[in-house]
Amino acid sequence: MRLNRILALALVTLCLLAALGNWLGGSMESQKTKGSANVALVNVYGVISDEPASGPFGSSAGANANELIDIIQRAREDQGIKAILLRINSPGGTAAASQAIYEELMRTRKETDIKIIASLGDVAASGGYYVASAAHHIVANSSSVTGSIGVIVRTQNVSSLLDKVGVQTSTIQSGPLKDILSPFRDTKPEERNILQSVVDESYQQFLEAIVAGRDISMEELKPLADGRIYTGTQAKAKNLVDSLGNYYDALQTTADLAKISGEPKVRDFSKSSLFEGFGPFLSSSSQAQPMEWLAAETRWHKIPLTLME
Amino acid sequence: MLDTLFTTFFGPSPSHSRQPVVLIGFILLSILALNAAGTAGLGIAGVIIFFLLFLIGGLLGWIWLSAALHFFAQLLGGQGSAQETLPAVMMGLWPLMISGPAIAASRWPNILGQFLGLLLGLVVMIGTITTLTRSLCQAHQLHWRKALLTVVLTLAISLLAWLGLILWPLMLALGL
Repeated sequence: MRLNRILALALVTLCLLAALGNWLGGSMESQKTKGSANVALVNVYGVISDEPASGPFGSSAGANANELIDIIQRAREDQGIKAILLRINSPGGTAAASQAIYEELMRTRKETDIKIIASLGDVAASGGYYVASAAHHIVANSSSVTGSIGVIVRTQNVSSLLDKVGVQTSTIQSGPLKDILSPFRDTKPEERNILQSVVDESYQQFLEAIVAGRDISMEELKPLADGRIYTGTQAKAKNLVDSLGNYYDALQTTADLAKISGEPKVRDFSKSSLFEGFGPFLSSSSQAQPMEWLAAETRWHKIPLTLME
Repeated sequence: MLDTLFTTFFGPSPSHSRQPVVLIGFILLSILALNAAGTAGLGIAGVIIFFLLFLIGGLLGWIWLSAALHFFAQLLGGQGSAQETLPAVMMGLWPLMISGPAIAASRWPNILGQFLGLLLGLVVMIGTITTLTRSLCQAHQLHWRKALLTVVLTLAISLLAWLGLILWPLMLALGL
């Protein structure tokens, strides 16, 4: 009978060890596959904003600057990565968030030999173009909407509406300029001057970023940067993008610029959460849903500086 | 320790002790979670999450399977109570542990790996049905033919329920 018991223990141990081997084998194989990729795909989808990093269940809606910076850093630290392919489909975002992503990409350009290529989707306007301008090469579809280079601050005066419904507001503030952008009165000339200086400063930084990232002079850029939008074809003619094509053309350009022989091996760095394979089920959609969009729009009116229109 | 392990897995007897059920459940969940995390190429966090997911799913499945088996066993003249069916079902599922070696073998190169993987897969399937039948025989004092019929009926009803779950939404989607 003792032999039976030893055999039973051996069987249970064997089963556990085999399962452990399955896990270690699968995990190592996955790491090996990750290491062999030479192109890092980074998705910049939705409104660019500065949000807290999401948990292990996936990414938050829109393009979260903190997550994107983390993704760029991980791609940079991966020894096998020779190029970063940015897939941008964004109407813009806040100035600071767009700038933060741009700076991280420029740091990658300066500190490594990694080539950065941007592939524009439906829209890569304003903050979306800000991010794209950090690329060595920009590929756009003929009808991609891009440009909208500029900065905007918007406010509303709802005081007459509140008067109609009998609502009165009072403000107690520490200084005369604390309630700048108040929606309960007209903007004062002094406040207008301050806001204009902020917009001008931010606009200047935007222009300098484009000049630093692309082969274009300030004199060439300024007439194009009046806030107007361009199609991909128009942007190509104005030297705001480098070539026309879809994602696969951008991938080929990436392989050429990074001197990758053979088929480029792409790894989607945006899908790096714990449940990589379950992303579509566990994470919120990368495209902002109407209600999320509305929420973002509403939230943004609290932030004086946005690039998006 | 050896005695506990042996009687837990290979010599089940009607008992109200929870310990064997918990031990089998824990080992089974661990093996299945490790297999799943290996297939998905996930790290230790993946193993933990799969373990927790399987714990929830396993508990639900265990209760429903036990309920269905108990129902058919009673219809066929079974004597056991629901408290006896639950541990009997868990003990009958121990051959699922062999899925660990089965998956490992199927990863071996050449035809040998495929053959061994298939063979062990069959052992898992037939072994589970056999031990489940044997377990029900003991818990409900049923003849083995009736216990086997109970298992087959339960599996058939489960498959029909799945079919219904697929066909009903399809019917509603197409018909409305």
